[in-house]
Amino acid sequence: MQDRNPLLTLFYVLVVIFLFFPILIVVPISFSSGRFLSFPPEEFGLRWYINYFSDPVWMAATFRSLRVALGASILATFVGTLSVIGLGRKRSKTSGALTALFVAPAIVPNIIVALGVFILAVRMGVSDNELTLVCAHAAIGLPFVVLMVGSAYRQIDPTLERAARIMGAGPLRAFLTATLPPLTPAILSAGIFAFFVSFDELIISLFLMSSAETLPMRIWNDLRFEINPTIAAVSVFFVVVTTLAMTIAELLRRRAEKNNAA
Amino acid sequence: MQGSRVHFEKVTKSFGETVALTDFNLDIAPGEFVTLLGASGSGKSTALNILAGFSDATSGEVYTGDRPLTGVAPEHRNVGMVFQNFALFPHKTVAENVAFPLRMRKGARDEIDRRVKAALEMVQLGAFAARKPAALSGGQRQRVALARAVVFEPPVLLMDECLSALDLKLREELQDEIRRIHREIGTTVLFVTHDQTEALTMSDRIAILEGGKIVQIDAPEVLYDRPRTRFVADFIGQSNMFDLSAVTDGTAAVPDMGIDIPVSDPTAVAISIRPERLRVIPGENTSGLSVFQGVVEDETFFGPVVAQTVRLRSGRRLEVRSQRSGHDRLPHTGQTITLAFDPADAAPLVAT
Repeated sequence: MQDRNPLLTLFYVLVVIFLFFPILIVVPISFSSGRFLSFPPEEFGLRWYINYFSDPVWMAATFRSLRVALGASILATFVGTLSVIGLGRKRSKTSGALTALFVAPAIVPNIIVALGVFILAVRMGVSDNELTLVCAHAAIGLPFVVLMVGSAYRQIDPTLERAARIMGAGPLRAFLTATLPPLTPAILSAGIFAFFVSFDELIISLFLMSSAETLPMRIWNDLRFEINPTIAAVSVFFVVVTTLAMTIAELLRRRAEKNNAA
Repeated sequence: MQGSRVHFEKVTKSFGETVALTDFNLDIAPGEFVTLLGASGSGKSTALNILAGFSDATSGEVYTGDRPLTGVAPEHRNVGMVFQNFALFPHKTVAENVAFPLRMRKGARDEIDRRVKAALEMVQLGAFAARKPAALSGGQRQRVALARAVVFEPPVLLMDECLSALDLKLREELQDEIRRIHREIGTTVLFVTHDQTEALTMSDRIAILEGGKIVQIDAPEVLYDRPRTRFVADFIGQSNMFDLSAVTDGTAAVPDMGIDIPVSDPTAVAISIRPERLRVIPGENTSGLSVFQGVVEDETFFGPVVAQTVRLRSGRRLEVRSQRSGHDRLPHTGQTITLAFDPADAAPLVAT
């Protein structure tokens, strides 16, 4: 076993605390049975979880966010994967410029995207509409799909598709046989990523939606008017779901890497 | 099964400014094993890709049998192909990989199973049907690729540098196996390689490509013994090449050797003599041979064979390869050596 520098270990522990403290502090609060957000809580109970799951406003926001995130993720994954295939394997000036364009929403501040989408939506009369939000969220999820699926696509041997063709498969069948299966893990994990890009997005939602709240909007609005530990319960729920999904995405990615290495 | 005739007729291919094939003509008899041999960039893979349908000829036409192939998609050409990097589907088992071309041809299920089994047995991989390609060695993967390429009994089989990813021993094993399979199924094979040994050992005929053109196409033995140009003589095996004076009345001078030799080809400008065709002469009985002298400059001992570098009076050097049997008196480094060759062993070379 290698000798470890104790200072390095201490540094490591501090970094982990720094990263996780804000997430973990809400856990005890969510289990408090007091009426206010306070830390540390004096009594424990499931009161705020019950409150969250029984409040129709919270539930409506949660399901709306899940719906929008699912739609945005499917749209971003579909469009993103087709873009990757359209861009092709070889880098050229055009494909470089187009990639930059697809990736732009990840670099441009969300508030600017929000402003643009808002003006456009109002002009077209489609603001305060879930479908518009799905499209806007798909746009900001797209860069992750293009980058993740793109890097997986370039690792797939292009002769696989040629082999399928010469053995009698048409172009679509060759793609489905040779390219799609090794690409699937990357597509799924990009989809999960795009899902959460949408699920926790606040700014665009605030600009675009008014009557129909998403979950982050509900949390935001709740915090502005009253402070109670429901938010902590929601946050813990949020963290658990996110962690689970990200773990699945990471496992898929690793499996894909293992397969490609073979 | 019977192989098809394959015919390239005045095929040219250019990529923008770059010309990959010019006036490429090649006629392959049914069941023949023809190798395209050339350095990278000589156009050999371009020719193969045009036949496979991955690339269109700029002009000219390719036929299998009597069927012109321009505009025919790869999946409708009924051609088998083995790729350099195997190109097995990693998520399919060995049996599923081999079954793929049959499934594309919509065969009956038990018929497919039977033929997959037969193909895998032919490459001695019957026990590996349920494995994924990742669980196989390089040689086994290439065998699967071979089984997959021939399982639907294509009349034409293409092989694109398909052994170059393997180490020497495996390569030799697979060369034998490919020859055996070729004999068994009788398909026409177009094999592409840059490895001259592979080409010499496997082919019925070898086409040497240079700059998008076939410079010579002949049986391996003819190609080795009678190269027609400096390029071919140099590309295949080792060769000593000497300029000739103009050929008059069937005779030409070899200035570097200081002798005259009979030359059959009046257009020859040089000769090529393989190192093993030169004989070391102790000094007697040289009738009918062309004899000349030099000084041994260097020698390399290979066991049964000794290779010597000899410097001629003109300063030119040549290579001699001698069997050691019966040559106990081989001159050593620094000594004068008398060499002779049968003029019939000197291949006349024409200018390109």
